[in-house]
Amino acid sequence: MDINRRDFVKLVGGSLFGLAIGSAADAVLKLPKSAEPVLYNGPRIESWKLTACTKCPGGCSLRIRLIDGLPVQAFGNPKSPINEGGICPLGLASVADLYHPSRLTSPVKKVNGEFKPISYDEAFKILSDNLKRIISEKKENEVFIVAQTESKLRSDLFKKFSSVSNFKNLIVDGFKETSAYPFKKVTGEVPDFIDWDKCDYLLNFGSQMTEISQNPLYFTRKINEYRAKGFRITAVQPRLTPGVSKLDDWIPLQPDQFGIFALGIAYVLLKDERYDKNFVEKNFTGFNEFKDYVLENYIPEKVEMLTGISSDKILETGRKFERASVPAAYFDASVLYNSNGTTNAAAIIALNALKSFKGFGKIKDNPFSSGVKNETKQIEGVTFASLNEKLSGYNGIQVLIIAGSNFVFNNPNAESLKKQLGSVPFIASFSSFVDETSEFAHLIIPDHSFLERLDLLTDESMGAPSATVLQPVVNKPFFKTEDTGDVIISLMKEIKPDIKLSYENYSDYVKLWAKKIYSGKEGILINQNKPTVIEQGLRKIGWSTEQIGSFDDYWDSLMDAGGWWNPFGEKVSFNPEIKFKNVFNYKSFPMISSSPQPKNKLRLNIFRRNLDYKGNMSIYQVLVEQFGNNWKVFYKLYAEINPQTARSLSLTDRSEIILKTSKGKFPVVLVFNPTVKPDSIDVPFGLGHTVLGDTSGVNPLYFAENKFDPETGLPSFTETLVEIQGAQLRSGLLSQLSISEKKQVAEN
Amino acid sequence: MKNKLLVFILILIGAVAGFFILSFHSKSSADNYPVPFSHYVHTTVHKIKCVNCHRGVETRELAGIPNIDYCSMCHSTLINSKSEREKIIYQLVKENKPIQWKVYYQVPDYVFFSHRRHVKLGKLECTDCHVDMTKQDSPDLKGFSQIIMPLCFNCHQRKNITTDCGDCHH
Amino acid sequence: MPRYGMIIDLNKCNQCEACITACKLENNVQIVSKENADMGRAMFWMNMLTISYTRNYPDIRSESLPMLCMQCDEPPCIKVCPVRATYKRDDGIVAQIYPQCIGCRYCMANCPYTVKVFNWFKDEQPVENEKTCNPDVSVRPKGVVEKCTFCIHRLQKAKEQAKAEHRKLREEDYVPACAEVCAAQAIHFGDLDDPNSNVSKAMHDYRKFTLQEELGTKPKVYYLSAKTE
Repeated sequence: MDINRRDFVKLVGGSLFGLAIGSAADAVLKLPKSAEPVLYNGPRIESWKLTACTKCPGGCSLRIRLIDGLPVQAFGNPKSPINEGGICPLGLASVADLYHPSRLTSPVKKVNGEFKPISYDEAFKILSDNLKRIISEKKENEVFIVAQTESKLRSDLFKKFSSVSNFKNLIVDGFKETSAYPFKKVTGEVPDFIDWDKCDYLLNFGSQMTEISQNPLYFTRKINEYRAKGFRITAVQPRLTPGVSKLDDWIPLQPDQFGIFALGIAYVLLKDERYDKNFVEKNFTGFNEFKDYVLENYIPEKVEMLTGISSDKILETGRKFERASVPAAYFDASVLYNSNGTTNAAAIIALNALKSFKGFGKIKDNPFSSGVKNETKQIEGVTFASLNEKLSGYNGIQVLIIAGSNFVFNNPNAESLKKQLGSVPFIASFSSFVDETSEFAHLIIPDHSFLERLDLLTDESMGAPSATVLQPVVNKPFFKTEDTGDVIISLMKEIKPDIKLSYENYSDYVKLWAKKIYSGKEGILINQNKPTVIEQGLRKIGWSTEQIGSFDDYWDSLMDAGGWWNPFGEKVSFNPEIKFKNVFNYKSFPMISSSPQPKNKLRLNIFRRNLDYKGNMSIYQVLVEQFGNNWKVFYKLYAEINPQTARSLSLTDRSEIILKTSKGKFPVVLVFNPTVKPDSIDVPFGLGHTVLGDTSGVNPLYFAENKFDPETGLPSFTETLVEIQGAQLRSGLLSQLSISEKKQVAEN
Repeated sequence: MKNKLLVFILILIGAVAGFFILSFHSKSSADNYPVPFSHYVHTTVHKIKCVNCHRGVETRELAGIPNIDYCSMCHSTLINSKSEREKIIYQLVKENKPIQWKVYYQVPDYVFFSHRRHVKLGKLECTDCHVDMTKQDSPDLKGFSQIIMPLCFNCHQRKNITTDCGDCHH
Repeated sequence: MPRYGMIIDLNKCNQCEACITACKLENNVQIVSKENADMGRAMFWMNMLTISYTRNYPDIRSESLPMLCMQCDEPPCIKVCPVRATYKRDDGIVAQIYPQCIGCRYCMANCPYTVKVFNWFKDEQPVENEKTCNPDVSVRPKGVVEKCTFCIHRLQKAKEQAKAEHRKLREEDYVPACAEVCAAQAIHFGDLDDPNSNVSKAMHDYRKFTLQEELGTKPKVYYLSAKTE
């Protein structure tokens, strides 16, 4: 048989061709990977929804990016007057809340030391039965409620609950609420905002305005504008925080000496007679005594002796303050984290009074100043001071209700607090996570994540009332969680069945607040353009081209817009009455600074960073990593020290050392920072959780002295002395320590 | 003559073997979809256009595969009560059970391909990259066109469109 | 053809580090394990870098700047890449093509700004971060170099959108994530060749400087010095 080459090709080709028909599909179909679902197995439809951020007091408006209906990224809403498209690291990371593996997925009850999931109805029954029992035993005074919330609506609801149920011991642990405390005590009134347009000199006492404050992103922009106009800001702060490093004037001072310094400035004003005489005559009770007292005791030379700030500097700052036509001495809650916090704040208020609070203002018709339908009886509530006191009595508390607050982590007295909490008969918590405080709870009814609930975040710090809408961005809650607002409303109905509420649930309640905006017919939605001057004038006389339909229509457009604000409302000056005699005897003003610092010891200055607000950073791994990125010290606590101090103690950069306080020892990595005060060592707050999220690092606050502001009960962050232990740790030892070993290091 | 016969026989054997394998595969092709879905019936018999179901073709990156909620727009009632196939989808619609579609045409995650860019803006036909689905049930019967980079390059170079790496890989 | 560039006003920036978080999340940059972070393998495309301290305590001030890929006009990194995984595009962006990269790390060695990072390992990512991955950016495998690309995926999407709407690409259509999130509005981004763009206008500022100009890399990321006097 002759088969030539051509035939052979035909022959082989033919059979191969036939085979190929069958196997072509096979070759492709053996692509298991391409048939597998990848990251987003879906049409990958992108959508955007507006909501608000609850991670700090700012309440920025957020634009959430959703892929197939699930949130993946957060950005700032450019239309928002608060943040104008900006956002901070916490806000960026906050979407992870929704998917966090350690989130509580249903109500839990503690059985034999472990949390067991139960149904909501069962959980609610346990809670209400406990409260009913307390009421029947008439032990209402032994119930404590700690609510950490930045939403005025929520805190008002808690106040309502507190007055309805007669549980008077309510602590609203919110930044704005806390900042207002000294003003309420001294003057009875609280200013709404700093008047950035008029103010020409700002003396800032310890507030990290651009990082952790009432409205960090708004202040960031305003301070830039303010400086661009040529006005000065003097920051009195223990540390050169990022916000301060751009300012011309920084006065390094420990917060416990703020009061002395403020009165030193007051001395200059009084001596030069450059204070507002009309105002003090009318509004300052006992001014003459105050004047004599300050002139006698706060001579710049003496203040220099006490604080270490040169008298020239005090005179210079005082003169700047008195020459400014509209000065403001600003402080916020951060000043209170000190053993004499409220007194210091009172001294700063007194300094403002000498210039008649010109730098501050109030909004005339604030729709949110009173509660919904004015039905909330203004209950004053209590502070952490009374909680600390009651807890240390061991049997003073029958029921403790915790809503979102992680006060154990934010407390130097954590060890004994934990023991005390262990002895409370019933603790209920509304936390979404098991944290250092809620781990002691007997019952947790987890709240929705902030992307699943509805609220209005009101704000006044822009000089205009505003309300940013917090709305659910997912169709329905992921898990069997329950809005704390709803739980509180149901509790009110359960405890007092005869009570008449004008709302059935929390969303009704929020709508009632929104109705105030609707019926006020003022202001604009944030996605609308600011009206022209003519339009404003027409509005004032009751002309409006806008068609405002029914409330339901308005509500829908409010949700679409993401918020409301009233930039053309009337502003009035802040003219409070100063009544020192009643509340603080000014003789209790700080006279003597803490005893002189021993030479071999350094001041432990625990500072906050904007990556963390009250210990909520650890659930965001991306932030915990970034926390260490500045100094490239990852997942460990670092301590910043002035290189000169370090050299005098023969310490080297990046060495792992042990700091010793009166409460124990803890390891840190030393980094050199020439901006640190030479007599202190700066340690950041935020690491060192034991149960919540990332557990690396150490919480330096646990090693701080148990010093509290006697009025507010807030812990002191900067009044601990540390010794540096000569023995340097073997490198790498730190990272190998487990949590229990870290505790041991601490105990030794 | 003898040789030609031999060649013919061998080609026949090859073809038979090929068809055997083919038929084996088309048998298993029922498993390619989790439901016995037929593109042929939908597109050719009922004259439904591709974009009617793959709704993202002209507006989004991914064409999208419709799922049970979309199927229910037609299949919430039995159209042809004799069809066994239709009963399956009818049952699924009643139970509201999502279909676990397998995705055959997929580019690796380091390639960014947008349907809108190609179909709407670039005015390509579906069949330029995909098999003509109007003639078959599921995509593996004949000449599955594999999406590989030369396929992209052919077109991009011919039409003088960007061939910058960073335009597709990021 | 545009020539994209960035100007960062250090007088406005107050080091809130939102740009760094935004960059990390936008580009799915991996979070390395604790051990690897300890070994100096943490991955950041953007850093807050303290470059100097001026004056003495207590008048001391630190000067920090957000440091990202300089997108040089004469990039030293592309000259050493043996496989053309990194190259300069016509619009000036220095791109990095991950499937092409062989991980030789020559470019990292040749980069005077040390802004390129290497995927040493593929560490397990936290669940919540996997769920919030950005679908527009691929997740890089182990063994490739990566860096800032001015969020080039956003450019592609913006171009497509503009074309679909039958209009030209506007300036605000395409901004990188860092510029978008900046609360102080310190980061300007746009076409350096367009005289009407924000960046071109900001370029006339006398405070303008670039990093390591003397090397002749011609960076397209400019800074405006914080000094006002």
